[in-house]
Amino acid sequence: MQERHPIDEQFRKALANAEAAPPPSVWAGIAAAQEKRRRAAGWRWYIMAGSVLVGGLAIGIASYLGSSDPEHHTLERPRSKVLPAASSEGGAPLIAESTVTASSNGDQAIVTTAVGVDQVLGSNTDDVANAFEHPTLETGTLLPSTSGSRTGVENSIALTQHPAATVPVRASSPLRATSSPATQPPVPEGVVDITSAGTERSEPALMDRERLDLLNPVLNIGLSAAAPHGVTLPRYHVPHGEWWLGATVGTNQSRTSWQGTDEDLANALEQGEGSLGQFVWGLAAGRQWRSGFGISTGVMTDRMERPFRHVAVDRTTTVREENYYVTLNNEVFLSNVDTVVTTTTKETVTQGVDRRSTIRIPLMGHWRTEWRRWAFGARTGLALELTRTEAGPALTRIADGTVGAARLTRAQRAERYPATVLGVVGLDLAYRLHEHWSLEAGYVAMPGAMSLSDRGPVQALTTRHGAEFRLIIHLPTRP
Amino acid sequence: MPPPVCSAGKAFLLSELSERELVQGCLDADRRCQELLYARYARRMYAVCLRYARHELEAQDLLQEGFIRVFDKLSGFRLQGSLEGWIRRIMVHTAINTYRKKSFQQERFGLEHLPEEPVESVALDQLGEQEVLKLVSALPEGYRAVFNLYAIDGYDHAEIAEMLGFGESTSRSQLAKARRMLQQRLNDITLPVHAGKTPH
Repeated sequence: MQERHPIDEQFRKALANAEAAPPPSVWAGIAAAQEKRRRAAGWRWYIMAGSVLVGGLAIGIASYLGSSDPEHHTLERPRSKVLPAASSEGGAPLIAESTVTASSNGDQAIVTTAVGVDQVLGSNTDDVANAFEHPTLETGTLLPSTSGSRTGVENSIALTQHPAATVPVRASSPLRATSSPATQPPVPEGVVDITSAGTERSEPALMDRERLDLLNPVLNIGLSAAAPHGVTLPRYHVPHGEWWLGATVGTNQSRTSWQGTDEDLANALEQGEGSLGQFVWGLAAGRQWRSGFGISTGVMTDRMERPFRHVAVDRTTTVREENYYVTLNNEVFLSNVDTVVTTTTKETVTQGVDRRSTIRIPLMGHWRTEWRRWAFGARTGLALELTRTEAGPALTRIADGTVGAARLTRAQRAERYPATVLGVVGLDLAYRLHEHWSLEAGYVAMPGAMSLSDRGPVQALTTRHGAEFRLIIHLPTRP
Repeated sequence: MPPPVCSAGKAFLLSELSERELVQGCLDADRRCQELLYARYARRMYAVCLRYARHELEAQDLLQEGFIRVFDKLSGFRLQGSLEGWIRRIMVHTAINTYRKKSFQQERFGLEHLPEEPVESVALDQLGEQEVLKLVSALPEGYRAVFNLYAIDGYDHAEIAEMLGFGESTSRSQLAKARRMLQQRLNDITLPVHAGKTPH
């Protein structure tokens, strides 16, 4: 190692720990520069938060009021092996009805289209086989001594999940962390006035900085160590809490329960609709106090699309007796009675796309506790859910009074989805990425609490649960 | 007046705050923490600035600019080394940046004729910090920067050459000339002392 020059060593010893008192004007200049930067930074955050809010609202409104033009939706072709589905006209949702008709007219039965013969019953099995092959069983044949009976209508519903209804969750952009809060005991609120003389007093609180948990010891410090020479330190305003804005994405599983005066229809609807996964997004805003409690509100929206397919199976059973007599000298030499039972199956396929979009406006209370950069909390509250429907197929009371599928208008469907109130409970885990940014993940359950309208025979009440991810901007408080 | 007590019932003094707490407070832009940080290190950093500046006004500008940079760059401080050393490096770099902005011309003062004599240790011992600071501040600009960087702040010639934008040989020659100039001025001061006169 190179030996130091004697002069260097002399001066290093003399000056390494030298001190000199700077004039007070130096700190005044530093404080002014810091204040200027802080104000500029504050405006920058407000502009960014405002941009996110406006952009998110625009996207949400555009989605909610999105075009109802269904031309861009692909419909699933019916899978009936007997009846191909009719094609839609003019891009309207496809509702295919078969042309099969069956009628019963006294002792005659006319089967215009034989869809299928399920079973043949007879009193004489040997003759049954003959009768089955009898040419009179052909379509359109007028048969004597025939009695027909309609044995009933069976409905079956097939709802399939449309691939477009599954939307992947997009993760938020990672942000670099630069600061970390720490949990400290709460501090009385007020204004701490620090002067160079070392006095401290409290006044009504004014907002200054929000994230001060980690500074709690500092807020209560004595001032014996004093400020720089001759420097009069400005007042420090202890904050109450902080405002925040957040952009939320997530998925939730929804299940609709049906209630109303028409119990059969409500049961059919409830059995026909399973759980449905949806992509949700929205904006939230709130205020978090230093006590750990907070409130928030916002707007969340999702859009649901799924194919609807209903197959009504109508079976018509025809029972016919054929009597054969062999006479000899006006006496019956031989007689035979054949009983032929013919079942005709008619399938009616109704299909289309069920489209709904919802907006939820939650009002929630929060509590959270922090540890270093992490925060864990819970929330509870209520949410108002508004549903916007589009015309489409659905189960309803059809002309003959039975439950079947038909295309409903928007107004008819809207009656089924009135404004509802949901309960909200959730757990949150947040990580402070930066002084002004947090990333939050949570599980939220929203059981349907009540419907705000009882119009119509059935009303939907939706229950939801799922995961949410939220990117939060903590707004700096303007001085 | 009762001592200030926090909600936990324990009184805190400014001097009890650790570097970590100070840094955390400054990272949250808490003005009192910034003031405390300034109060804790301003005197030593002002002495550093006085060594590099030509006069007090320039030193004050350096100190102000340096602390503004400290607060801006504090998020980069990893709390692993000495905070004072980190602030000192920022002050030195601030001073050097200021120096580089100026049009520096090689200054010649006929130093070739300066005597190369050893300095008695008594000489500096008899001077106060302010007088030693004035000796350094009185050096021509280029010499002062090199001498401060090399002799007091511990940079080597390669680093100095890179910081100041000239060759290592220039750094060496500037240092040698700075030493000789300081030696001559010390002799001027110490001779009257040895002769029983009071230094001015």
